[in-house]
Amino acid sequence: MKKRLIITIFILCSFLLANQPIQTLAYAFSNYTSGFQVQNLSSSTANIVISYYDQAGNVVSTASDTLNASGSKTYFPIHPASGFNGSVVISSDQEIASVVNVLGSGSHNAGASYVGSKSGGTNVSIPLLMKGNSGYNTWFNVQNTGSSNATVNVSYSDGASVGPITILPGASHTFDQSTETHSSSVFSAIVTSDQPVVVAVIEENSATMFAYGGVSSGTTNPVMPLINANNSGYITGIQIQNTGGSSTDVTVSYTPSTAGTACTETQTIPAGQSKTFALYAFANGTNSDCIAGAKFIGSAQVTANSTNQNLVAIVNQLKAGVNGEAYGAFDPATASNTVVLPLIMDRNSGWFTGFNVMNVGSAATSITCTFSGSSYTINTGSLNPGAAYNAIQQNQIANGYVGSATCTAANAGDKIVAVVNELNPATGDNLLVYEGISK
Amino acid sequence: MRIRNNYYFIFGVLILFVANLFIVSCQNHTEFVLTPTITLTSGKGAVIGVLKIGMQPAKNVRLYLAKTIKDNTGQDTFAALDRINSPTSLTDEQGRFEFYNISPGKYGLVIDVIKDSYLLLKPDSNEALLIDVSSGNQIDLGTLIYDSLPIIPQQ
Repeated sequence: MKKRLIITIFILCSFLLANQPIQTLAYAFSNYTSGFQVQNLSSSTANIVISYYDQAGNVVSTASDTLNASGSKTYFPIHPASGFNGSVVISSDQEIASVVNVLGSGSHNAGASYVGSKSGGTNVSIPLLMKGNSGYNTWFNVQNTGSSNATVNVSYSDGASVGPITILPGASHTFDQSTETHSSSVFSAIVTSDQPVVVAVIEENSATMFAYGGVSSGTTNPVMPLINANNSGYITGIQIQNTGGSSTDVTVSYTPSTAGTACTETQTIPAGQSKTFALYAFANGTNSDCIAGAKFIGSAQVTANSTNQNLVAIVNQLKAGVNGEAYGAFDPATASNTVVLPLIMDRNSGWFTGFNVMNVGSAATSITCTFSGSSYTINTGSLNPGAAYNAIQQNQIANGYVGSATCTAANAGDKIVAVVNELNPATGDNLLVYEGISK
Repeated sequence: MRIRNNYYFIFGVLILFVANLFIVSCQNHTEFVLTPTITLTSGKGAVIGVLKIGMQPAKNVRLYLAKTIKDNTGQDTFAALDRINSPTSLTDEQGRFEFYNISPGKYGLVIDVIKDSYLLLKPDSNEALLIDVSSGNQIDLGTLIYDSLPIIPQQ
């Protein structure tokens, strides 16, 4: 049991809120439920142990299970009627990955997902938080992944702060921005702790939900494989946070894959602050040479960072009033020449996937993607550094296809990353996005 | 003439039989569900039922039986869905679902919406709907009526 995966789950029932009058939470949905999918990334059977904790630090339950080689299961906690808001730790003797799905009731169609963490950090950055931003609010859970009590402080970029809060090992604590005092509607935060912690963030209004994980390690040049702008109503905002100690001028370069024109955007990000990129650049050309209102499908990367500050970033894709989803930017230094995409679909009860695979190395390369159980393959041809290839699986593989894909660059030293969108044209928040897993 | 009278008699008996079934089912606040007689494989069980949203049948909804996992105290703590190996059923136009030749054990009923899946609670409470399947028995869950479900609207 050498490998641990730490995930925070939210199962907030209205009963729970009624039983905890001290903590006044103003969530967009009356009920939240979670399930988490665990995938065995190895070719051997994985023996896993799942423990979940309440916010007081009590181990509510521990159970064991097995996962077939390359297999996956989705686990649904069976809870008492009073509800549960807590966290889960999964231990395994094989390499595993996990995706957590959160559902907000009411519309019953607003959902979001985020990836479980393998380890925590004592300094975790949260690039995008909101209070009353065009109806959007955020809240996040901080989970103590250490072995001792964690003393946690949250410092917001608008000057507000919360803490110290004591979180027991394995337990989590909820921070709700809608009930805190903030001087700005959009801001970021840095969570500091004397024990390693992980963070899961929910962004929501009454119809749409996003989720992403806090970032414990940044990079001077984050990359974002998938950017949509003015694309059938879809827009994208990149929130870049400067976690360093000095102000820096950040230039983001946009490279089209199937639509648009290459352009750049430059903004100054003061120390500890965050700025929104892409959203206004493609809407009206602000701070950029991008063409206002033009359709763009491609990728983005930070190509200049004047004082070499550490940056973290998340990307929100949104179709206003319909659906939205978030993914985290990648550090090219941690990329490899192979990316696994665990869920690929074509005409699966209306669902299909589309992904962007991006060359984040320093030399041109070609990428080949193979699909499980199918002879269908994709070869990108030569991709320059910073360029991405856009592939849509709708009507391409087979009717009802559900499988996985593996994308491999031509050379062992190449570096690639990928992001997958899962879409259903039906109404409701029917967009899901996940980051490809580097192998 | 005698043959015709016999037909009338048989028809009348059938009407009375169906009416009686209807009355009994209404008294029990369930619905009469016609289900085919299936010979179960030795050592296996079955689960049937009807899924509705309000008064409307939940059509073409993918359901799974997710086997429960007990924790270290013997309590059912998780329902584990394996999309490849878990029993599955697609509801029909009337919202009916049927799982046959199921291995004995305790299961949760999971609704699958492709991008996500959800463990169904009992319609009238916040408790998970758990089903104890035993050898040689068919469990009829009756009509499960929910105010709403996390399914994609039919196009």
